[in-house]
Amino acid sequence: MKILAVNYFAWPPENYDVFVKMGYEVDVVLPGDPPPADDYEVGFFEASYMTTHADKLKKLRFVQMQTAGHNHLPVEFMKANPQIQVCGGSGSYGKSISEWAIGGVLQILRRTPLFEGYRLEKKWSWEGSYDARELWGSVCGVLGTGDIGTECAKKLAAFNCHVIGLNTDGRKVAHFDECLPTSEIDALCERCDLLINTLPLTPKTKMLMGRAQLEKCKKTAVIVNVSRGGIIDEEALADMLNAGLLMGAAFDCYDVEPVPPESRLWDTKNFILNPHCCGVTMGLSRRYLEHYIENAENYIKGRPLAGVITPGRGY
Amino acid sequence: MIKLLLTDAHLFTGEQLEEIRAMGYDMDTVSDRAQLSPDAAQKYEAVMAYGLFKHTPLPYFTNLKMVHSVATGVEAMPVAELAARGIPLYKGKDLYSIPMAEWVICKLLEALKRAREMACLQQAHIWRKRSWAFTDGALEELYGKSVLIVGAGDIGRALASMLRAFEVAEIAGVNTTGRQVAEFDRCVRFDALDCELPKADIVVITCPLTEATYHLFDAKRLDLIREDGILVNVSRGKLIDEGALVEKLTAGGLAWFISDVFETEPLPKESPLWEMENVLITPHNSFITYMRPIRMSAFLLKNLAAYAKGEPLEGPVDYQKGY
Repeated sequence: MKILAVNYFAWPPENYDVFVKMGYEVDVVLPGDPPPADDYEVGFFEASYMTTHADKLKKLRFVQMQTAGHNHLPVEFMKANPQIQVCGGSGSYGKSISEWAIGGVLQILRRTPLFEGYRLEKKWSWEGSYDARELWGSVCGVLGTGDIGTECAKKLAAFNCHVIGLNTDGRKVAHFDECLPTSEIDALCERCDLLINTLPLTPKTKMLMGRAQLEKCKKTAVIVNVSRGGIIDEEALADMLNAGLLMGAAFDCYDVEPVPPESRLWDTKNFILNPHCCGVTMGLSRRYLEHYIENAENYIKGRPLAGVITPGRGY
Repeated sequence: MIKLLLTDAHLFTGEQLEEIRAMGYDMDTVSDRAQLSPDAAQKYEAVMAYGLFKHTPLPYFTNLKMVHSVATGVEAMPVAELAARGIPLYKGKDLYSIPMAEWVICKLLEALKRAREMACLQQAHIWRKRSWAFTDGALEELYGKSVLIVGAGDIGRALASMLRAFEVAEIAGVNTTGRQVAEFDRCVRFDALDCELPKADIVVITCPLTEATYHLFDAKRLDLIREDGILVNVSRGKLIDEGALVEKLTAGGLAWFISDVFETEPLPKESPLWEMENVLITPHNSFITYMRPIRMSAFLLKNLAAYAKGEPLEGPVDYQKGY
């Protein structure tokens, strides 16, 4: 039984020994390389690799991906090839991304960009310190109550926060103090001291936080985006940040990626721009390997696979 | 009426000042640097101040029965003289643990998520993702790290409970007696510090500065911290031999040094700590947010009310320990 493994992770060859011990034959390639053969039953690769190469792999039955967002999947191909089970990486990113989200919030609240500016001038000053705010006791809106949202909620609870989750029907989810349906987005914006977007991009979430919603936010609100662009209106956000109508924002994902050099986002006031890598941690790489091992073992033993994706559902 | 001398009246709102008077205080407000005459000073039964006694000597206050620091420290106060005269001294208690613990979490995440590197790229409009392909690796996580908190007081406890949510591998605490504290996985006595240092990914100093803890982190102890370790100081600069630390940092002996406090403050312009890439510093303001005056005034008000009624006050200074 052969695995085609695309090595996105700069893993050493010995990371793949475990699959050989399970009884697989493993070919390891780099993301730019085509498949060296066409008889792979298992693929460890992402949506773009599947889109480019999977139609040539006639024996393919199981693909293990690692991304949590599925808006780039070759849905038509998957529907036409129901014999291929595609599994997602949902559950891998929660820990790393939620850490970055909390870090982004704290940096805005504690005005890190301001004090880093002082440092560069070797200026020892408390000027602006009393405008710093605390996470403790905040009302937090978490858009999306999946793995990433839940990990955010768990951490926010340690800061004595009241955490409100937003999901399609407002169903109650563990670790959230309350949940609201997406139709209540305006009320959420009005109530919250900070908002963290962890939603997938679907037709229903597109521009969920438009200008009208952002204008309902508190002047001291902090906005964080760690899932996908297209959900929060970037133009409106930049206008409001530059006008001092929000405390700040920390983003990892954008409408257009890479963010073009001429974009106004780079120089927007109190805006932290991270180049869509906040979930890519050394710890994640270790968890990926564990995840590959788990499902490879399930597959070879004929057990049900974890995290099977239904094509067209969007998440 | 209780004669009260108050400095830092700006901590209170006008309403709160009225409230104090209504409790039965005959209150005067002066600058913390006021130079009072012996005649003026002898009137007061209670003083609420910080650095005042450096400007008006304590012996001028011949009728003093209580001194209250408007800070959480008492370094600027004549602790030994007050002890000798048997005058109780009080200080703000547990007022800064939340902002300081949040500051530590913030700075740890800045280091682990390479916030400074990303900010430089942002300023230059350069989109460069960190990934596993980088020779020095991708971003790091708090998840799974071992943390040693030196000083298991209010700040250490608040920090431990926040760190818990990040699923760190272990939170060990160091305190005087090795008594167990709920927020920690385990606590050890101070004399076990040297055994603990090499085990920790992150070492956070929160213990008070006393004669016994001056240069607690000398060259020898600093060398016990792992080369890939992170050292955080949120207490007092003099707990670390800064010269030895700079040498260690220059030699690449530490992944990150994070500090809000320094041996000399303001930090001299010629200090290399300003510009070192793996050093994150702030100007001794980790305890300040907009909540500071709100929390402090509420605490002081409560203690003034207790004193007026002859009830016990919170935050008494233990003269044997010196803090």
